[in-house]
Amino acid sequence: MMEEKILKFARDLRRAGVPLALPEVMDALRGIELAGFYKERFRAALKATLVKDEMDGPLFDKLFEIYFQPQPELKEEYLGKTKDFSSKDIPVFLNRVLGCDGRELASGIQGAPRGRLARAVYTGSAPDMEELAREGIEMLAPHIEDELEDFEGLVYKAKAALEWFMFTFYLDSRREKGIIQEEEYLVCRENLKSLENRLRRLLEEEIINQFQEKGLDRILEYQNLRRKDFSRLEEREREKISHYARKMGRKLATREGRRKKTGLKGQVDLRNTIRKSVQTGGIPLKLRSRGRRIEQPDLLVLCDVSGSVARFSTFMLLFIYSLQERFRYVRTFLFIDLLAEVTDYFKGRDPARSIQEALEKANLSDTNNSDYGRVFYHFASHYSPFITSRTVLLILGDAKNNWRSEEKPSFQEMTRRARRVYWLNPYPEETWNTRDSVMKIYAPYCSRVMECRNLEQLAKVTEEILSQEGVEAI
Amino acid sequence: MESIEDVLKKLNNHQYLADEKLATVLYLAYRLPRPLLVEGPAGVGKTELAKVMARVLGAKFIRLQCYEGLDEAKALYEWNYQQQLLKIQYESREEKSWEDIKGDIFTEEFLFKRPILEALTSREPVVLLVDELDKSDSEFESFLLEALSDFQVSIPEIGTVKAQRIPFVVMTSNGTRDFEDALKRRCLHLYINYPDYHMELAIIKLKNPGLAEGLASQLTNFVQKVRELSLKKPPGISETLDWARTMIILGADKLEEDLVKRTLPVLIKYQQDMGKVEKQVPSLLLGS
Repeated sequence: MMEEKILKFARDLRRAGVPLALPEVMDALRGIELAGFYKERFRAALKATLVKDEMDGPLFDKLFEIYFQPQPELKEEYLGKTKDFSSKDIPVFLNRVLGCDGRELASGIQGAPRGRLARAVYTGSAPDMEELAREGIEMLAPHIEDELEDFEGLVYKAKAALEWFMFTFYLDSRREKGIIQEEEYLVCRENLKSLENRLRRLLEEEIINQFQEKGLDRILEYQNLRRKDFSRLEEREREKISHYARKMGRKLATREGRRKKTGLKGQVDLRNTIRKSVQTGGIPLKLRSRGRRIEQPDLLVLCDVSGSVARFSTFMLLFIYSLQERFRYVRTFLFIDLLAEVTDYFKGRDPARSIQEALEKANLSDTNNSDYGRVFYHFASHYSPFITSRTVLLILGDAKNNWRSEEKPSFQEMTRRARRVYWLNPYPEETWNTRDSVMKIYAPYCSRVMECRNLEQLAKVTEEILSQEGVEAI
Repeated sequence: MESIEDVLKKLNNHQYLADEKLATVLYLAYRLPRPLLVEGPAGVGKTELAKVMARVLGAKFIRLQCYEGLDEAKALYEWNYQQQLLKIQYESREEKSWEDIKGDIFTEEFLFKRPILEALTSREPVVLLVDELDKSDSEFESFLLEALSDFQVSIPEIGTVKAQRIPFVVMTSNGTRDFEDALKRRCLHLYINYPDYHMELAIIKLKNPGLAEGLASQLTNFVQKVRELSLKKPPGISETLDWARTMIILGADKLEEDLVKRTLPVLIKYQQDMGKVEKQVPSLLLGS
């Protein structure tokens, strides 16, 4: 029975993208035999045998929670912090937070979601919070199907239904003005957090109930950093992903193996050495070397930073700059409907700040809508001479042209001169040639057009580009 | 090691504080048996874990430090050419046939055993630590995979050498490079993170019995907060312990701004981090 459950667990884990094969599952089964079913041990045994990369940790944790830790009601983990108060504190607090000028709150407000929310998080009463969370999910339930893609969006909506943001706005401003005490504020904040956890958990349950296996897949997908859209990463996740992206770069950089490290003068040229030794009667007095032939390509990056792709582009720029030593030099251009070179902003400084600065200072747009045609025309007419047979042109953008005119000749000119042209598009391939996308017009002139919006795809793309460009061959 | 409780108790006896999770994984690695791949930030006690396991198991501790360019000759074995040459010269006086000489010089006598071969051929139990595996290159990784999946290696002149007893293998990585799936598949995986407040406090007290109670919690509190700043290299447990020892040497009994600033280099190893932390010392000291 338990074996079956573990097999199912492993299958779901694999379906969610954790690389798993039979030997690991066997290890897991034997491991559990040895470790037993006792809480922390059971979990540690499963995790150590099935998950070999910290990156898959959140995925494992979530699935484990769903499989082995059912939580029908609000339990300790979600239980709020209770403040010591006497019952008359509650109306006083409510008045201070939600009321104005100390007037009595109308009973309507007390009964409105924000009133009940305030009361629940102030008292930390578990049943009240549970009820609120369930209410939020109930209001949301009929609409889940439309937005199954966007978990955070759903959480946001459930919160909005509880007038969450209105309450936190009041809470923050009353604290600033010193109307509520710091201690009260902290208790509320902490309880809001437990309530949010509860809300998320209920939402997951609801999704699984409504959509069964498909729902489970969706939930695991939200946890899967490898497949999470760059533009949807939260700050904390972004840091983690950047770390992995750098690590990936390193893996690529070292893949050739470095047993034969080339000296400053390059490898020994045996042929030349022997030829020269003829002069000295066949005794090779001087070692000739082949010299170091540098084959680092130049990289020109053209980067759409309009609203629809800005977050993707900035992430990609950060990644490129973490790899910049692999190229002879990198020149960066940003555009929306105007083109600007921003290479100078990146000189020897923290790339994240440089991007921010470049975005603020460079003149990139008249209308705030991308215009690929105009930008290509500008680029071809000003920068063509800089594109040589060692230039790799990298274009980052969604190719959404806002119904503006195309500029095939310029693009043809740019790409003809370059050694290779890559276009990375963060949108799914199915959408490329729909609506205002001009992907199909420019694609024939590119060496490769690739989908790239998450770590998994980025890995593929980098591998392909770097292997093609055979950087620094001797 | 008979049970998880046993592991916990023995680790504790050897002054290594472990939780259930860690003990479980160690126990499994020992019983399955599988090499253990330990990842986590620098300075959280990954290497220490291998050392303490050697003491717990009463095993010989063999360490292989990885670096870029490490190869089989440094990890597995090498022939002692000079000595072989001497032997040949010596034996050539006796007009022996080449076959005889060959039989004489390719024997264990002329073999330099490097850590992996040493671990496999040892008659006593062994803990083999492959330290900082992420610093080696992928050829070495494949080689290691071969050696550790069957616990045997082949030396062309001698034949296959099979492990006398299966060594307890710990591989550590600071996560600067990703490993091949095949290698990960054969290991158990353990991620060690920075300890939480209570764990770290317990470790400090255990290792520095002389430290004043209040100071220990102040130190811990401070370090925990420093880790939340986004630093290039957040302090690990080893740095915290160094810092605690510094306090004992200085005879301090509580943390003060001036004292912290003077001793900060023990804790923080990069100039740019130093700037960040120094600015915040007063607020970091608050509430401790």
